[in-house]
Amino acid sequence: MPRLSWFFLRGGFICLAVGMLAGGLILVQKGTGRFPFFWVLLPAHIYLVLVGGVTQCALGVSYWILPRLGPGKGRGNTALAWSSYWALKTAILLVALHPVVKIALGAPAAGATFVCGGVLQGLAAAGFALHAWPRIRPSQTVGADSTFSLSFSRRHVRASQYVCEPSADGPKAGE
Amino acid sequence: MPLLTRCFLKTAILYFVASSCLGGYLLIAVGLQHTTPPVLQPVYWHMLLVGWLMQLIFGVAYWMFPPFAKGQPHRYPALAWFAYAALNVGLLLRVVVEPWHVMRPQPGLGWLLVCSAVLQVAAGWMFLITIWTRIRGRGR
Ligand code: HEM
Repeated sequence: MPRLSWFFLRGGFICLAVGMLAGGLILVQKGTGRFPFFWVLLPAHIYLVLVGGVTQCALGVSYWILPRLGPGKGRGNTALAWSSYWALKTAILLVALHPVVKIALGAPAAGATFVCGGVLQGLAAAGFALHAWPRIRPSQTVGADSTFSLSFSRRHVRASQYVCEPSADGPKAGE
Repeated sequence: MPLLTRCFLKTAILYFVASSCLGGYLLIAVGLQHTTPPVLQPVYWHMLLVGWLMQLIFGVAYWMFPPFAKGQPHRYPALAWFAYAALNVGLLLRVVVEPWHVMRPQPGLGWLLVCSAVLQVAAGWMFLITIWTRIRGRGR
């Protein structure tokens, strides 16, 4: 698994867990009628689980398993993918901090976190789309692409016994 | 495919069908301008997103992420099973109790929602712990 997928996926699972905690607190409010201020967490809950969790996991897996561009080109424009990662991370952080900003600095400042988060999220999506676009193409046949390692399937299957079918230019051995 | 993944995926598919039926009913009701209890909206969203999408993600991650170690593909398999059970008991509890609690509130019922929240949150964190060390790599 490449480092960027690793970052996306670990971040994604953390966001899911934190987002679920926020949702859990709101559900406690619904059940008990106490702590009405927990509702301030609703935008953060939705953003953390959907953008932070589901989207980051999807981007992490795509970066990992989409076909490479061929000999010497690897995964293509990786700088773009990394920029997209940092933009999305900042957007998530801003929206996650929104409840704190709202309590500490008031609604206008909290609104600003949404504006900045929204802009960064758009930029992140565009960056990742530009990176991934050329990688969405038919897989190479075995032997036509030097990035393919024939030993991959045998070694990997023996190691784990449950791996999915590798494509010719998909993830390599030990990734 | 490990047994736990099969359980996650089959339960996810059941939620996909159930949530699509509920979503279809809500859509038809809007089309016919019938009113439906507003509480069915969050129930629908969580059946779809937690029951279907998240279980799909958990099941596939448990299956295809790099093995923890040679001869030991999964770290803390018991914890992963616990996450599966807690997520499903918690979600089912929410699906049944939330509309009931909102439409016909009874003393004590709300605490079942608290149990549902605790179970689902615990499931998310337990799965995070089991999968954490398997999210790693060496490529660029
Ligand atoms: C521990 C698990 C979770 C709990 C306890 C939880 C709880 C809640 C609660 C209490 C609400 C407010 C519902 C209302 O307006 O009455 C809510 C809204 C929402 N949650 Fe969650 N949630 C959880 C996980 C998730 C996940 C994993 C997703 C998405 C992947 C998600 C997506 C949403 C969405 C989209 C809404 C807005 C729905 C609406 O307004 O009807 N939730 N959640």
